[in-house]
Amino acid sequence: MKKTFFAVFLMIASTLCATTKNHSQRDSFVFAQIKYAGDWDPYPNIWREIMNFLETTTSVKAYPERRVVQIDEKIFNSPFLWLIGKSDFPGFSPSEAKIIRRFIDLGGMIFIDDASDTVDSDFRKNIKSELSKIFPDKAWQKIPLSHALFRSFYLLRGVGGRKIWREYLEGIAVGERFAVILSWNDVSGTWQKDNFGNYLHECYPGKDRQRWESHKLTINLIMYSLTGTYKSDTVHQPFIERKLRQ
Amino acid sequence: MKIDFQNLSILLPLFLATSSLIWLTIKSKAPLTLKILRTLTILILTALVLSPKITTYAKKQKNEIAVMIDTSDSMFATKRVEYVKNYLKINHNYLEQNYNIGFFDFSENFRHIDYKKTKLKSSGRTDIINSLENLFHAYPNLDGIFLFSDGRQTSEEATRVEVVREAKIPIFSFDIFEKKKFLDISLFDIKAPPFAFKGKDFTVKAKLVHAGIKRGSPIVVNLTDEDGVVVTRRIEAGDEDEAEVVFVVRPKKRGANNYKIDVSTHPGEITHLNNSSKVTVEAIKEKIRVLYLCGQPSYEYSFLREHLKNDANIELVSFVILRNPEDIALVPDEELSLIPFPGANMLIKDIADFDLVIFENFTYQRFGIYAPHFEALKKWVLEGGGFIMMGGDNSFARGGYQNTAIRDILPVFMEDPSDAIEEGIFRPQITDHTSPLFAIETETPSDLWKELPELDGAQKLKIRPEGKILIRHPWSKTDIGNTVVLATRDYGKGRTAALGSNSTWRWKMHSKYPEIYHIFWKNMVGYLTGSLDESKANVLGLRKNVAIDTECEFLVKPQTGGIEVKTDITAPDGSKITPEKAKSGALWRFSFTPTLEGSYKINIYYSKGGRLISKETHSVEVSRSVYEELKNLDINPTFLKDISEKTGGTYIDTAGFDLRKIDEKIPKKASEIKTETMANTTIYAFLLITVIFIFELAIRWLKYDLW
Repeated sequence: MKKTFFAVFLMIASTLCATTKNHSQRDSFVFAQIKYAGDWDPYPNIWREIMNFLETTTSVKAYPERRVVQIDEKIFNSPFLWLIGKSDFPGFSPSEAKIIRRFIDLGGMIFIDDASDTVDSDFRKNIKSELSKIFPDKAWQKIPLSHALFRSFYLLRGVGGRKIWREYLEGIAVGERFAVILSWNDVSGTWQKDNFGNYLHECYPGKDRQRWESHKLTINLIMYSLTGTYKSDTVHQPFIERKLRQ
Repeated sequence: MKIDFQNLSILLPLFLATSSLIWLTIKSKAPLTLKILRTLTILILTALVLSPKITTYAKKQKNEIAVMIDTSDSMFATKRVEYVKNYLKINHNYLEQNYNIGFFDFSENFRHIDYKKTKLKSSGRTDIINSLENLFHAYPNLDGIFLFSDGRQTSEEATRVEVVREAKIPIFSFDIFEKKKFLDISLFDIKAPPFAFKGKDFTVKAKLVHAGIKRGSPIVVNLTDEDGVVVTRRIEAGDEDEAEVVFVVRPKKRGANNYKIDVSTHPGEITHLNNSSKVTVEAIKEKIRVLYLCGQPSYEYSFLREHLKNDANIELVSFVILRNPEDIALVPDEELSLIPFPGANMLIKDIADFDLVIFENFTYQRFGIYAPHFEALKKWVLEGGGFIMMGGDNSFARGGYQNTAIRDILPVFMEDPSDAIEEGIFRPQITDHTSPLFAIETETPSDLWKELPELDGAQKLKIRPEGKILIRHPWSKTDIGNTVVLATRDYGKGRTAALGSNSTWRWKMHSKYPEIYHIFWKNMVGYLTGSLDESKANVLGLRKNVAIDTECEFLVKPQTGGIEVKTDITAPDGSKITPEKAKSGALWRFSFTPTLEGSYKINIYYSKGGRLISKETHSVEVSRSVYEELKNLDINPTFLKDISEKTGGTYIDTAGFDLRKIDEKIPKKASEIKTETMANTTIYAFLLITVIFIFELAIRWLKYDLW
């Protein structure tokens, strides 16, 4: 009886500890990805590549696990969410829509990556439509290349992706920040490797150069989520302008 | 001699009564001798009733002369008063022998002095006309005035010079001073705003007069503060005697900043008293300036930066280290948006421009920050700056700060660099709900601070005796109690805080009341910068003393938003003034120009929604500018001549003037010497009546044998 009680106690305690540990990230960046009813995870291993690259090239501390979240209260542990779609998006339930709205209003950010490999993507149409319903007062807009997003770490002169369908990113602005950012070009797909460490997908039309731009864009997205419009501060402008002229 | 009767109003009834009595006396059967005596008695009594006053005249032996000596500042600054003393020393005997002399000194008003005993003292600005006018009233029978003055009438009443003519007393102006052109550089008309915004430039203008300075000579003007020279201006003496220098100054600290303006002295200058001037400018904050140094991009940085950026009262300068030296650069530097880290320079050069410095998870060793930077930071906190160190692996002892001056100013101990981090999510506990950091605004829920939202990980900090614990960890312990999550400390005039965690962003994302995050940081910034205290002092920059005809300006900062501010001002003569009003952000600016000397009363009314909430009263003393007296030290012969000519006197412009010539100018009139003899008259009359009475009795008894 005592053994059984002790075992149960240990089980509960370990569960609690695991839960706590799961939420505790301190000042690390967590690759948090939204799980939904549909093809939500076409590239299950890219997070590791991205986190490695992030930690190798920047001062950001990367959390060593991917956090997969459904749209519930847990998303508030991860202010930057990755949402990838390949085929379709089922839509948000009313409660999910409320949570998304609150998440964004409180400072959260979502990067939506269309991995559908088609210009006429149902996934993209649906998610845009769903988010437009959540933010009826805000419109999707092109993010200009002069925006802090394209300067948050690398000085980018264009967008990346596995296939360039559009030469821009779209977004929904809340205040001065773009809280929802959408790529048509499957940025995530450029990170996918096979078991031998080779990139799985060819980038079109720019091949490896385009892949490299895509990786830089990924880092900039993360940096943007962690520093906001820092690179728009006046003190940076003369340096950035000079470098861009070069 | 002259006899006047006081009670002439009863002349008619008295005449009738006297006539009747004399008539009855004459008609009586008394002997003639007695009739005469009685008639005489009646006439004497009648005269008594009429109250006779007898005035006698005598020729004066000497004329009454007032010697007036100007003891205003200009007479002392130029040592002209010594010339007067010498002149009087030489001529004192002659004056004593020939005149009845009274000595007076004056600046704004006259004062009777014993010339031999009184030591003359510098006594302010000059008001010759006022002094003369008052003297005329006090001594209307003067025969003449000997005026020893440089004629620098610094009061505006120079236009009232006509009043001296009315007194009909000749004034002899003695311009006995050295006539050679003297050297002097004087500062005057210093214009500085009563207040300036900390971290922003303001302008000080000073006019100077350079008399007798050779054209092209260099003149150096320094503006210094308590630490030394702030700005130096060099000009050359030009054709015009007047010049203006302009200083652009940035206040170093909040509150009163005292400055001194000095103009270089030249050999042979008549005085150095007017070569410097002082001015005080109260520095206030237009915005709170925050320097935020962060060691790595994180959600804490992202959230806190956005909060600080969106606060209209805060001007943020932030730097976050995006890449450490050990991180691999896969692209050339031109493709990175990184800039050289300027934080080290700012901590030395620009620290005074900030009100608050935040260190979050910041490794100083890699970025050129050394001991002198921390010493500068410590000194700055001592003088009123705010500093907070937030958690992260690179903060506190783990960041190596235990060997820096930061150790001295924080409210927590930093002894062991291997201090553990308490991992895991925890719900921190407030230990002092009375702290202003946990203040509740009207619109916020009353249970806002009842239970704090969770934090993620914390450094195991221990409180110092000088520190105050505000938030503690619920279960983590150190050897002296629960781990400190937040503590504050007053250090000199400044304040510091230690926050063991850098996960307060969770308070926004994970709280029943997300506004708790913004209120906490707003209160934290306000507390560390003293802004929460400043709200008690509503009126800023109001000087207690101002010069007449100079704009008096002040700011009013209501404690809370939505407050309407009105003022009315009462001048010394009771008249009401409506000041100029302008509103900029939360600040109300008022200004008026006083035109009268005396005390101006300023009432400030605070109202909300048309309802008066409170009122406060201040006063401003208005007086003449101190610069006027020493601005121009030239003698003013025109003025002296003018008052002498208008009064029939003489302007005397040489120390060798023969005083005997003055006698011709003073009228040899006999002054009145009044002798009022009414009392004596009465006594004599009664004596006479008594004598007459005794005489009548004697006649009656001896001649007529009547009794």
